[in-house]
Amino acid sequence: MNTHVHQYQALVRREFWEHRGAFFTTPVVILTVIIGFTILGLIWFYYIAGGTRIVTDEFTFTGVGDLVRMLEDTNPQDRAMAINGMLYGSTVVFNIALLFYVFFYFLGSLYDDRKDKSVLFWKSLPVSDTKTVLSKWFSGAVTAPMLAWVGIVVTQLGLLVIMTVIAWTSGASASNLIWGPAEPLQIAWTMLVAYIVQSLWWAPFHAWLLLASAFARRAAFLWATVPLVLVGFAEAYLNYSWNFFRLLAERIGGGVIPLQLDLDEDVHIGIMNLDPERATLSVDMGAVTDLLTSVEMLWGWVVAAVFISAAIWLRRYRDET
Amino acid sequence: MSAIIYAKGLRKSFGDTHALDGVDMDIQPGRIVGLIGPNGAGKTTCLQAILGLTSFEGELSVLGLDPRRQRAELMKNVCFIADVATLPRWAKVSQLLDFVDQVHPNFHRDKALEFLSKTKVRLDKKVRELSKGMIVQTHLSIVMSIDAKLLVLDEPTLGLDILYRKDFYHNLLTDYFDEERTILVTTHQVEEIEKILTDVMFIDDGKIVLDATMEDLASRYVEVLVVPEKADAARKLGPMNEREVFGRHVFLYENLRREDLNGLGEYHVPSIADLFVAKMREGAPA
Repeated sequence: MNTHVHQYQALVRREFWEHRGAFFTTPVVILTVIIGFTILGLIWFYYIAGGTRIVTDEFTFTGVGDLVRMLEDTNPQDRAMAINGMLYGSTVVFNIALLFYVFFYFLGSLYDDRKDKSVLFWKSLPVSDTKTVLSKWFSGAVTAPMLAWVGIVVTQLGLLVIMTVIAWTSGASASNLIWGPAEPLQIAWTMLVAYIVQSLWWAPFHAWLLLASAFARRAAFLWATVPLVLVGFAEAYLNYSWNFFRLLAERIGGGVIPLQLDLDEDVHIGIMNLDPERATLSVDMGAVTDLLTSVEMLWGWVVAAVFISAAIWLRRYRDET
Repeated sequence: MSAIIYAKGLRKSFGDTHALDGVDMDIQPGRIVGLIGPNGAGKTTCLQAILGLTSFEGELSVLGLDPRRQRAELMKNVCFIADVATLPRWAKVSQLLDFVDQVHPNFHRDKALEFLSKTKVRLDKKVRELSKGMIVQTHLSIVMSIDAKLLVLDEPTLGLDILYRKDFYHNLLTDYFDEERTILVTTHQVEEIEKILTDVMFIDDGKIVLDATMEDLASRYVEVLVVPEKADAARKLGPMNEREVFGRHVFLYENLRREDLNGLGEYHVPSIADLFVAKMREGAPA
């Protein structure tokens, strides 16, 4: 038992070593860019645009001080909305990047080592193919989002610190203005649950990529995409319907985090509650439970289990030469 | 004593070509077996079957396990280097040691560190930063630090320069091999392993055409250098092969009584390479 846990640990750590660039460096770059641009923007306000006036119907704007004053003047509800909205906004970049690098991670996960023959080294060690494949699923579905989540938390803290400094320099009370309405813990918790639920929702999508990766002798990307497109068009041609594409779009674009494609009014899968009093989003655990026990979710796992089993089988029995 | 590798009637086809066509094997512990054959003879397929890397028909047991069903279990006691430079290029040497240490119950990290300390390989280097020879040294250091009963080497030194190749087999013999262990090796550079082998197997067209110990070879085969005047007499004795070297004829005989050689010329045990060529010509239609 203990050796099994040990082996899984080693395998997951190996994936992190190999994909450090995607899993670790990308979130670090994103957070650096967000924080960096925010600081640059402020410098621009202070020094370069110091004398510029932005005049709209609602306010006159001459510098960062005005921004702070504007925030002071709004009612608490709108202020909370503005601050938390900005914090949530910063998570979008992480979500989109994560979708892409996890996609490419899975695509290469059981393909790259066959291409460069290092699979012969991995296979010379007493590690079962089941463990190998499951550790790769875990890395894409858990390690990657969890590290992105850490990136989000650090970004939010960075933004809050910047806002605090601005408030101070403008003579306002940071605790009233920023830390009162801001809900960083709430957002961190929401994103944590959201990432976990999202990975469970995407399980069949991830498993399909693992399967394509284990199957392809070359052009893993085409094996992952072309069959799906063909099935979709076959359905359109034979049945004059687009149900398969619709299913794919709902699976990939749906879930709790990403593009919120709501093609079908009946399938609504949000887990956020908008609290009108404090104007913040919170996790609706009831909705999480509903989603986790929904027919769509369970079917997804069944399909994922089939794809992952097939990937393990291919990894085990496919000739390497 | 139970066999390390026991195979009966191994078969595998790729379409019309038979990579393995009824291969039998019985390899005992403490042997160093050379599996020798031309390209495409089925060497690699044979080794892959033994390592559970490919499907096949027939009976095969390696250390008493079925490589098809018990591959992961088997790898606790089997090591292999299949092909040159299969170490993952992204990994640091230290990461490889850490990983193997964590997943392999029979790996001794301190041994690997000791082997590596005799080379120029640095632990903080990535594999892609090492030369081909250094990659092989790293791989060998890892493999030699695993307490395995069977080591399988498939062209482990292909494309390496001569210094690395010499060291490779020297280290293997002095630091690794003992009577508990068994090594199965294929290579094109037969001359280099000739002296370390205890057994030799020739494979051609998926069939084992020769399976003998080195002592057997010495008593079964003889090569005679004959002056031209006596060549006809030598031909009458039914040689397997005849070739000319610097005006003298070299005849290779199987199961020839030593008395018959009297007066023909100097004789000695043929090299594996010469025997191999003779065997392959014998099998091939003229």
